[in-house]
Amino acid sequence: MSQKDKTYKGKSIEGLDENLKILAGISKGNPFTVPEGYFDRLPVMISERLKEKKENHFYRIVKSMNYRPRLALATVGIVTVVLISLFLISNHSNEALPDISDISISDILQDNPDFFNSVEESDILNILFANLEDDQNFLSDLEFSDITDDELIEYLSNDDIETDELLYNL
Amino acid sequence: MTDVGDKKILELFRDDSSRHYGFNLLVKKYQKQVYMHIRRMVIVHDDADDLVQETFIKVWKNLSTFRNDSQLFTWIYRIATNEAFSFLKQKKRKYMLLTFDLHHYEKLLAGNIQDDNFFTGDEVELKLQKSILTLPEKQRLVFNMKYFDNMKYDEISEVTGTSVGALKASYHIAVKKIEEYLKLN
Repeated sequence: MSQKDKTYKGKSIEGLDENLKILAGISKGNPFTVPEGYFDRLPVMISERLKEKKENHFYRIVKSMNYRPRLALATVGIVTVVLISLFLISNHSNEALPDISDISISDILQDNPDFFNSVEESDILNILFANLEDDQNFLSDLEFSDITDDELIEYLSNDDIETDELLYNL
Repeated sequence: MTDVGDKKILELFRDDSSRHYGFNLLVKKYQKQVYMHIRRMVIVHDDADDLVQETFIKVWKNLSTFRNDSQLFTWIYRIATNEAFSFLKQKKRKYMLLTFDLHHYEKLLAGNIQDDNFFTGDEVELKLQKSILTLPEKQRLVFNMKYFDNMKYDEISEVTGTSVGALKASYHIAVKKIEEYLKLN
C-alpha cells in the first residue's frame, strides 16, 4: 500500500484491518442458501425469459385476445367506430367554403326568402340617420367649416390648381 | 465448463451461430457470484431470483457493446448493483410513503431475516447481517464486496465508479459502525 493509499481527505486510514477485531471472530461463511437445484434451473429460466422478451409485442396482444374473444370483438368495434368518425370529420373539415364574391343578393333571397320581411323599417331608418348624424358631426369638426360658399367657388375656379394638388388636399 | 475464459465466452457470443452457447457459459460461470451479490443486498431469495434474471437479460442485450476496458465480471457486477439499487429504491419509497419512516424497509428485512427459510446462519451471523442492514446502501455494498467477496479496491471502484480512497474510507466507517452495533448487541 503506497503512502497515498493510506490517507483519504487528509485522514489516516492505515491499519484498517486491525479494526476488524470483533469481525475476525465471525465466520465469513455464507448464511444465505437457495432452493435445491436452483442454480441448475437458473440458466434455463433466463433463456425462457429471453424468448418471452423476443416475442413480438403485437403478437402478444393478438395472442392474449385469442383467450378473450369478447374483448377482441369489443376492441375491433371501437376501432371501427373511431376510424369511421375520423373519416367523416376529416371529410367535413375539407369542404371548401364558398367564395364571398360568388354570393349574390338573389342567392341570399333564394335561401332566405323572408330575410327583408324580418327586418323592421324603423330599424333601417335608425341606422341610416345614425350614420348621417355621424357624418354631420365629422364635418362640423373640420377646420374649414367656417369657409363660405363664395370662397370655396373662387378657390375651385382658380386655373392654377393642379388636379393632383386638388386630389392631394382632399 | 465454468473454467471457460472470458475471452472465449466473448468470442462465442459475438458469433451468431454460437451466441446462445456462449451466453449459457457466461450465465453458468457467474450466476452464483451475481446471485450472492444481489442476495446480500436485497436479502429475500425471491427478490434476488427475479433481479438475477433481469441482470442476465440486460447482460444479453448489452454484451455486444462491452469493451475490454474493464473486466467482464466487474461489468456484470455493475449491472447487478444497479438492478439491486433500483429495486431497493422502489421498496424504500413505497414503505416510506406508508410509514413516513425512511429506514422502515431495512428494519422490516432485519426483523424477518431469521424467519427466512433460506437463511441458515447462526446467532452471530444473524447479528452481523442485521448490523449490515443498518448501514447506508452504498456502505453496505462496499462492505459486502470487500468483506465477503474479497474484492480488491480497484475492482470495487470499477463496479461503483467511486475512487479507491473514498472506498477505503467508506469501508473503514462501515466496519466501525458494525463493530459498535455488535458491541451494543
